[in-house]
Amino acid sequence: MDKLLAILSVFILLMLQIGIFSNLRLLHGTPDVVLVAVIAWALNERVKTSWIWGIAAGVMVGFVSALPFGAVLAGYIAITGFARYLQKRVWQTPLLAMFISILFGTLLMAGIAIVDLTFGGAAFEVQNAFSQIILPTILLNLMISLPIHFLFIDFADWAYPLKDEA
Amino acid sequence: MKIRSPRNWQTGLLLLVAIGLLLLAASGYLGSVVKTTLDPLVGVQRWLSSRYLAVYDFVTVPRDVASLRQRNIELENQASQLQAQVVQLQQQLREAQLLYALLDFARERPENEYIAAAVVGRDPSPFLHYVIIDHGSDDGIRHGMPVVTDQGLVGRIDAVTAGAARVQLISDSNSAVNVHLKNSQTDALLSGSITGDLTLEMIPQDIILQQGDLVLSSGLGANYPADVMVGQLISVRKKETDLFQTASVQPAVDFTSLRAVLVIANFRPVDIAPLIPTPAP
Repeated sequence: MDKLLAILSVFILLMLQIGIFSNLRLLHGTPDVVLVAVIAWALNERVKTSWIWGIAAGVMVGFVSALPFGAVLAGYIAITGFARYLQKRVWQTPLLAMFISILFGTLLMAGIAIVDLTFGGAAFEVQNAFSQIILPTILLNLMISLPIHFLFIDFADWAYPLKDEA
Repeated sequence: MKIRSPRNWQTGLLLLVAIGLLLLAASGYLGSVVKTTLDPLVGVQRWLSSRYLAVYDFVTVPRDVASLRQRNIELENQASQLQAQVVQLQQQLREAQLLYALLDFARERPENEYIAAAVVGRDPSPFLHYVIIDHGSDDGIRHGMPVVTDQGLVGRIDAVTAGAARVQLISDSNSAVNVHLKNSQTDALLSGSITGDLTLEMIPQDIILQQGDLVLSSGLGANYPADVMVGQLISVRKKETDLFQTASVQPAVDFTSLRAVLVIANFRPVDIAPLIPTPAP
């Protein structure tokens, strides 16, 4: 049931991403709601399906996007692993962990895209990419991270309710 | 001789007075007198009427408020329903206008077969310029087919599933289109960028470019049909030290508000890679 819920949630988030969030632009950056959601879910201590979320997101985004499938999947798994690692290390400051994970995740996905474009023969200036795409994307991801973080705390409480101590 | 009675005199006198008054009134001499007499009466009547209406309202308002509130709710519901209908009809009108424009475009080029599709999404990566359409291989769409709108060239099919397809826009950084400048009568290469800007490259230095020059697809390379509108030249960058000059192009299609596109179904790109000579080892 948990796995089914994870796949369904990622699917809905991906629909929102390609239908709505990819059209919300700040300069040339767009928010990545799937990435932020995967991180927010992985940073919940009680959650047991964070890896399922990461893999499902990687598979689905890799399927939809023109970026290489394997690179996207590896990127999402790495981001999930990083968020889980931070959750164990800085568990007392979840918001800080969230912001650091988003920064890491956005830079990693941008790095994957830049490497892919470079190998594809596209000519571009990294400085231009940084100021026009990467920085606005980081800002947008940070902006949507707070509501998603609190939403996913409630979601985790609903999915994994605390058992009363006898 | 018969003496007339005093009653007849009174009647006659009254008649004379009445006739006199009528004549005075008809000639307008009585206006000021009537006004002076009636103004206080009208004022009193107005005062009485307003007080009566105030008392009437005071007595009847509680009943009216209930009925008015009920009526207000009904009207508000009706207004919201009508507003929803207006929004729906406006949306349908926009879609109809869009489809009519596409239909006109298709009619102007009867030699092509078109498949109309709606744009349902965009690539999640902000570095890439791809859109997702709601028709796929089940509808006859194949890899490499050109995609256009009534405004001009959009891109080409990059990947296909049974019910959907991914379109690489000409503004994508990996896209390259062979184009022809209408006024300058020269060929060039149009390439996209990560920010979606279009740049013309490989234009010889001796060609004089002008702002506003129309850019059309040339058909060279057999990836896109010829003579499809691509955009308009907006600025030229020319350095004497460079082999070629470059120029910026304003695309004819607004890629940020793409809603529906036409896929040219009877155009099959030709793979000319085997014909390109490779350098001997």
